Amino acid sequence: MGTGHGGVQTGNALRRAGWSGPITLVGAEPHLPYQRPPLSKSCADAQALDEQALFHPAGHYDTLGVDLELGAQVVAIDRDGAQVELHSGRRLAYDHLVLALGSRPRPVPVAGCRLAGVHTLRTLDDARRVSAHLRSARSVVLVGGGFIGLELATVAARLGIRVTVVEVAPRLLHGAVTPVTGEFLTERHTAGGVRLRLGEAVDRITGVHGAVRSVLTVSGEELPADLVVIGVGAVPNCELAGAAGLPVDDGILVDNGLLTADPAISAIGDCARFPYGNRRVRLSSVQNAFDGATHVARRLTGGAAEYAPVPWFWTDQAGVKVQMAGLPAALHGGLEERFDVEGDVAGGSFSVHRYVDGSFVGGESVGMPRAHLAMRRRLAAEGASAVALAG
Amino acid sequence: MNLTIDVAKCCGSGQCVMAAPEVFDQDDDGVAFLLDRTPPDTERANVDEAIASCPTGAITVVDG
Repeated sequence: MGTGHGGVQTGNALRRAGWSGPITLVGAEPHLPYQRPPLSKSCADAQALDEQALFHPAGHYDTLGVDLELGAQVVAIDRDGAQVELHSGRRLAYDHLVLALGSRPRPVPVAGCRLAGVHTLRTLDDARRVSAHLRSARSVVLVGGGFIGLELATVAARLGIRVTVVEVAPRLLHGAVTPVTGEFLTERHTAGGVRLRLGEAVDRITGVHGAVRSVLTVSGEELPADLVVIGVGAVPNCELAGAAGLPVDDGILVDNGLLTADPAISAIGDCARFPYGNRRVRLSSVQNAFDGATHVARRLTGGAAEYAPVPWFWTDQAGVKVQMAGLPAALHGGLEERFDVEGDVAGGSFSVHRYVDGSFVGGESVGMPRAHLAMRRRLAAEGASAVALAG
Repeated sequence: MNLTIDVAKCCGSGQCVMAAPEVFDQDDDGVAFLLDRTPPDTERANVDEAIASCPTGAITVVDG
């Protein structure tokens, strides 16, 4: 279930592993399966969105013998009957069910969030709406200085639109990158014309004639806005699993093979919480969806190793690509951390290696893709999950 | 094998470089490029792994 990165790779990996039985990908959205990273990065260019977002042309699925059920909303998982029930009333039987349901934008109960011109960004339809609005927008406010907010800020600034990012944390990408990289990005965004309001929260969004007019901050600043995008995190889509009696806790709980409490059901990607080191984590990344899918396909075709990924991530913003290896810094929060910086930070060609309690846990690279791969190889060799996590 | 990389789709993950370092490399911006546009058959297994492990489907075989 799911036609995002997890679902598509599950189908691809099963066929690559030699499995020849029926495979069906069920997706609630009506579009051919598409990738989410381009939605924020290529938002300005509707044609680029259409060209880059699709994983594969329709023929790919025919060639592989993977059935697509698009625009198919699943309303219930019937574990006893080993079938899923669609909104249309149809039922699809399964021998094994892979839940790759992803996540959805965290709702923010701020007054004015339903005004016209206020968006969230998760789906291709969202991206097309934002893209169309960007063509006429003069002032954009991004609520949330995470990856979505900062990538969109970059797109808008490049179009010459007045952009302001409102972020509640005291520094940029706090919890996701080290202070070194956070400061580097702050300077690059500022140099690119993005106005940052850090340590600031939104009080309410005001409108006129039902359309957004400004964003009012808690400090009392009024930011004119004719386009607002709210990006303050995502919540996993685990309601169907919970309703079916599967244990959930900010994600569908799985074991180290990505199997749920039901031996006929696995869960991967954004929606799954899996054991990692001495804890359970939920990772929202292309890497985790992709590698989780590959792992489940191997497990279903006779492989038995545990899912022990090397997490990696990237963002394209402020004119640079930042590559990250290891878990987000927040998951190591509270523990002793040391950074080693190499290269030329001001020049945009540097690497930051992070150590927790003396152990290498990953880091960031800008303009140094070889250093990024070296970090991933090192984490694979030293055991990415060996370091104790916070909490 | 005749390969092509869609640079607009390439996200710089380096999966191809890890799978087939004799065939793929990355520039300083992380964009993948071919060291050998027509790699020998001895690289076939590595190239297949590179294509399969590209998270954005940016590598395709043009023919052969």
